[in-house]
Amino acid sequence: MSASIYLTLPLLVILLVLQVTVLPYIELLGVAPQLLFLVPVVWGLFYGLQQGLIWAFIAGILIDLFSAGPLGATSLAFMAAVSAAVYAKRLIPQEHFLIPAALGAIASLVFWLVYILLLRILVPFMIDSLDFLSIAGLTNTPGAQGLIGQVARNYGLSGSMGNLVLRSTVLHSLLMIPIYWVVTTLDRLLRPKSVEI
Amino acid sequence: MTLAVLVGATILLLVLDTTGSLDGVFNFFEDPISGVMGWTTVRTEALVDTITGPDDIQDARAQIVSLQSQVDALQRENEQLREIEGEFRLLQDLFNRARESPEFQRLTASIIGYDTSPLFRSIILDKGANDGVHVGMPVESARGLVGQVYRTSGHSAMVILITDNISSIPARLGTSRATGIVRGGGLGGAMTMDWIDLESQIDVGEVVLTSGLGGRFPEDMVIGRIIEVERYEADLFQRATVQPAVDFDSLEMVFVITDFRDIDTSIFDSIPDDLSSGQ
Repeated sequence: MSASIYLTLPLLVILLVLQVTVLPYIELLGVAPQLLFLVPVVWGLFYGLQQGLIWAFIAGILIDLFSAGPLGATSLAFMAAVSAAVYAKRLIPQEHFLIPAALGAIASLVFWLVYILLLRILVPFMIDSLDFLSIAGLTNTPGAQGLIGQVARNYGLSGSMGNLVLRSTVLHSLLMIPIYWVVTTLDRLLRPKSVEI
Repeated sequence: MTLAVLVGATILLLVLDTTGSLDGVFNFFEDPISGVMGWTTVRTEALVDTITGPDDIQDARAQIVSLQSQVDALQRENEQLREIEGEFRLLQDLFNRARESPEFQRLTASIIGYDTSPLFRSIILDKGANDGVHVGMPVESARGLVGQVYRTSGHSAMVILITDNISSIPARLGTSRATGIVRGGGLGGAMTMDWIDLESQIDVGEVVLTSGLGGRFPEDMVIGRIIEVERYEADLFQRATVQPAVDFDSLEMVFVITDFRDIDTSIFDSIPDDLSSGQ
């Protein structure tokens, strides 16, 4: 397990660099793949909920460090997604190569629902606290409050948001299959072989 | 006896040849032989070519490899020159932009990354707090306003783009001088200018500029152009859709405006005597 941890932390950092620099140019189905989301989900499915939550937290923080969103929102959403995937796996005991895809879809949907909900709640407070934003100086006026309300309402399951969630869910469920296979192979290579005494 | 006959015949041939009496005999024998010789020579040369051929093919192959490597090198050089040309044009545009408003202090920065969340529109610059970049500073490109510095670290800064949902900029129209607030459309939405006085007559195509109100942005920076106007008599304000001047997909370098002279609002800092005495 410790060897796997030493492998995963640099892996997350490498994936973060790819996420910020390369992946925005490689959009599949019109959306950039979130590899930093898929890795904790797969990790949780392999090593259990607790391990998955730890990596979801770290990956979420790394994502939020390079996003304009509130710090911690992605971590919370990732952790909810990992929990959903791990619990769903317990309900689907049989092994099939499409199971990871289904779990990926569940995790992706839960992530987006939680993330959008968090943004809707947190963004008005975020705008209020950022005094450099031009409207911040006017936040006590009814007009500015209305504007902030409009900003928050844009984080809802509208047409374009629903479209993004759908495309992202399909993409991540498809990507789960090769990533699950890679992690399975790595796990087989790195896990210490059991010896009967 | 035989020797005498052969010597006699030879002498006879010599005499006949010398006198030119054997031309017909030569033609009779030479023509078919020369034909055979020509045929043989062609085949012999072909055979020689075949035998000596591999050396030439190897030379040719070596030449092809050499020429191909030269072509590759020239193509690389060409690509580098094109890139330099593109960079030159970019810098020339930025330089021209800087020349238009020399009173601003600017810092050139390159874009090194994009927001990790598809719900936010921000870019990451290669200049940070150590370079003098601070939160709230406006960022522009050669074509117009890009956004505002949102977060900084020692060597990088995150800029929230004007098209992001949380961006709001006090703006003014170029021709009608109507004021309002330009808001980013966020995911799938267009940038809009809200709170425009209903009585203002605004036209499609008008240029949208920063008004400078609030002191966060300099005056008269280009934001975009009006492409649609929504005006309803029942409303208090009218609304317009704005096309950003900047093509955010092709942005490579930007200016961070580190210092500009904002609108002087110090007159409002102190309460006039007649008002203060009345309180």
